Amino acid sequence: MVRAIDPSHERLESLLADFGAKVRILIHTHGLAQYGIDPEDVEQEVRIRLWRAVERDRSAAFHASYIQRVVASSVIDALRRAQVRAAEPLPEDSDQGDALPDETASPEQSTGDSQQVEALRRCLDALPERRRLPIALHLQGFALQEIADLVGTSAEAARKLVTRGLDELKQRLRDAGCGDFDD
Amino acid sequence: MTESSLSNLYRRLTAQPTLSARALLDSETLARVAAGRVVPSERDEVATALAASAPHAALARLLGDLAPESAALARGLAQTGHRSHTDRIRHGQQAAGARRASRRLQWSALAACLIAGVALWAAHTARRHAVEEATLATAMSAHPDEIFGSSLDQRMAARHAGPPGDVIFRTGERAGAGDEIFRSSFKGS
Repeated sequence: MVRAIDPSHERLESLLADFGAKVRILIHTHGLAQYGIDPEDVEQEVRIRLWRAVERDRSAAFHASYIQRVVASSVIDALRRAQVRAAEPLPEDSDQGDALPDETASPEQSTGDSQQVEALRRCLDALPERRRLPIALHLQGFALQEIADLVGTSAEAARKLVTRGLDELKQRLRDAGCGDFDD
Repeated sequence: MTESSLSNLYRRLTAQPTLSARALLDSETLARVAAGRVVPSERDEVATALAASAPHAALARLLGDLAPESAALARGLAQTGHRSHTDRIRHGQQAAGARRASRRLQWSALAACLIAGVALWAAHTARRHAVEEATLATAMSAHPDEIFGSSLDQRMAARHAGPPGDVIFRTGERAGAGDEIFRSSFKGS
């Protein structure tokens, strides 16, 4: 009852609620839910972990990097749990349809997607080594500056590597019969 | 096919994280990636692991987008923590003052108990001495017990002194003085 009227407690609750909501939205935005994790669970986990850290030492300085690590570890743990769940055999009458294959896709479509995935793998492997990594990072959604930081080059060099690499990849996919590209 | 669909295709290809990605990309490393501070010695391994794991790549991008929110939360927590820390210090000082006053009271009570105990002991000792002295005085004034009470001088001296003591053998004419076991009278009878 005392804590309920504590202004610092309310302020802390408000801060963590806002931050948790932002984490949940970003999980949706970046498509992490498709890997079997529940954004609401991760939000709760992040809030609980931060709350405990604050309760342990209220006078401690919490750096942004620490908060980032808390979020990262919460998501990584959720991903691991999702992988374990996916590896476990499902009961026959289970209604957990997330881990099941998409039944709306026709067998032809599924086969076509698998062929495209295989063709993409082959075409990427055929790219020169120095272009393969920037292209892969670009396809994972990283920006040019992030690619430059990861590869250890300038943003301009990263842009050239990505542009030339993409052109070459598209050409190889066309040659492999994977259709045309709309730039 | 568009570049977006190509990207989706690649993410499907890398949807299952590789063992190296799971081993290498911990929370610490991903936070560094999001901040653009990858250690040069591990740059190639980290970049390769991110390229091979769509979930970890998505998490790294999420952390990059979350960085301003994390900084704002850190500032907010610092302000909240500073306020509560100041409150705790103030409450601590008040509690310390109350503890000091309470301790003084305890010491005073203890001293009072000690003084009262000493006073009681002194009074009790004085009373016991007085009783012992009175008993001794009474005993000194009484006649001593005798085994052979035949001395005339002693009997004459004791006659006016007080109550007679008990006698086991008495020779003489002093009858009815104290308890006697053997008595011999020389009055001709």
